[in-house]
Amino acid sequence: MDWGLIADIFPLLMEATRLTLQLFAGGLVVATIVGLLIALMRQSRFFAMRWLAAVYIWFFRAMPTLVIIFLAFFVVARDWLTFLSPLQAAILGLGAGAGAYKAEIIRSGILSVAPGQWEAAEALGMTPTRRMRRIILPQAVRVMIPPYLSNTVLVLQTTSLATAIGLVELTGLSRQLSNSTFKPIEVMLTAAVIYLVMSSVIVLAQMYLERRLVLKV
Amino acid sequence: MRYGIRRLAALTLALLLVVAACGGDDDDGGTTAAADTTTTAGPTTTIASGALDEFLVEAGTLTLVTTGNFPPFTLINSETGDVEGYSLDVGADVASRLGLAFNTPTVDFVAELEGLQAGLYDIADSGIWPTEQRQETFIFTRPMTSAGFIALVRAEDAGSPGLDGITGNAGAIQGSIHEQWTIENEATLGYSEYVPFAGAAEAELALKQGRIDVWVIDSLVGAARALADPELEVTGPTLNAHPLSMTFRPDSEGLRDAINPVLDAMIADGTLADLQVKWFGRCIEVPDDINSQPPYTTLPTGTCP
Repeated sequence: MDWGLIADIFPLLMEATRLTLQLFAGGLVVATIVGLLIALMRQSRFFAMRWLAAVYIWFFRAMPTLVIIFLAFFVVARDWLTFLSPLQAAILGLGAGAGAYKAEIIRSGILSVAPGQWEAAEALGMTPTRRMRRIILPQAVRVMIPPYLSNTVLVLQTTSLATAIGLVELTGLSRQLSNSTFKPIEVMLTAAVIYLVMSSVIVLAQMYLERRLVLKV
Repeated sequence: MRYGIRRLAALTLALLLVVAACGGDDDDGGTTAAADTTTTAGPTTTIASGALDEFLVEAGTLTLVTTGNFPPFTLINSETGDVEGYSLDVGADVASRLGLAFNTPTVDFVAELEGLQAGLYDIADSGIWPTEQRQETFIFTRPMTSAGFIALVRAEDAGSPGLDGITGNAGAIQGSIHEQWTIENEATLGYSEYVPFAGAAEAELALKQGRIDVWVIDSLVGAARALADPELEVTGPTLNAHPLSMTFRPDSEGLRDAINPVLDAMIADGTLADLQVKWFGRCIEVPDDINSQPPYTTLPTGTCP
């Protein structure tokens, strides 16, 4: 094991990790907003909304994230949303893809709430918004947490695909350094430790949230 | 429903804000080490300032895209994180002589040519062979060097016939011209099994671990690896000699035509020889034209050990 090389590349990999975190945070926020939007559309009483949401989920779950990012950058950002930078295009692609999964996770959480809860809230004269905010979502969120955060770890991992459009994040730089130094084991193990730390934070957040929500519900 | 529509509108607005908040073109930290590549400044040409701007992605800046993972043509310096290599040094010198700033993004090979076509970069150059097929889609400068295909083997197999007859498994980099050729010539090469690899590092590791017995690779890359690592040797003949050139979109003919005389000057004044010695340890024959047939015999002017 070449410890000297690891010491040399660690600061470079940490710098690339900053971009990974930007992609992750942006992608997660977009995915969550898209997911919530699509989940609500799936619950709409209007057929067109439900249909649009179903098509969205069908399409984006069928597409590999790499292809979505590629299209977001080379088609959407080039021909339509020309103001998008490469980073923004990658975040949009990541978020659009993960949003389809988030939508189903959020919808499954909402559907898991017993019908009696909906009926009771309605009987109390609550508006649909208050009903969702005060009664349904607090119960649904507890069910959503494990699949939502498992999917969030996947979002972290798919940030590595952004290297295909020139965003040299943690995996992209690791591959370049592997091929430049011809010491892939040292480089990839260092990157793996950084990924492990990042995903451990998400797992810890899951444990914390589960414990906290159990007490509150 | 009124609440529903408001909620959807608010979410959509929030989505747009999130994307917008993620920065503009200037803060895309990943597109790597930019204009600070050191140049070996040669004489500046007489091209008027701004004359090339209509061909450039960014006015006044030459944007050269490489993969950053094909040493010694393009690699990442493990101490500084900068992209460097033969292609980068040649590009930096060209930019300097044309009075242009120099930008060097890195990207995967597929996206390199895709991005070039999409107008994101001015030049692609990771040791690209201007094959007939590629000449249908891109245009090229005059060659800057030449290479061939060679067998890289473990040191204990030095002296084996190499590409004249492979015993055991052969490997190459996925999507490369070497892979295509190795698969097409399976019968004559005689290997047991072909194994593709995502990159040079994986192929080399597999070779050292005995998972493959021959790595079919660019002769310059192979020679550089054999020089750097005593566990490796090149063996057998060098086949498929071909030129290597900078690659452009067809509508960048004006830029290509401005760069060709600069490359001629670099060959004549010894700059190219110096860069070849720096990165390859020796001078490499430079074909006159991208369609010149081997053997190539003309070395660049300069001190060639």
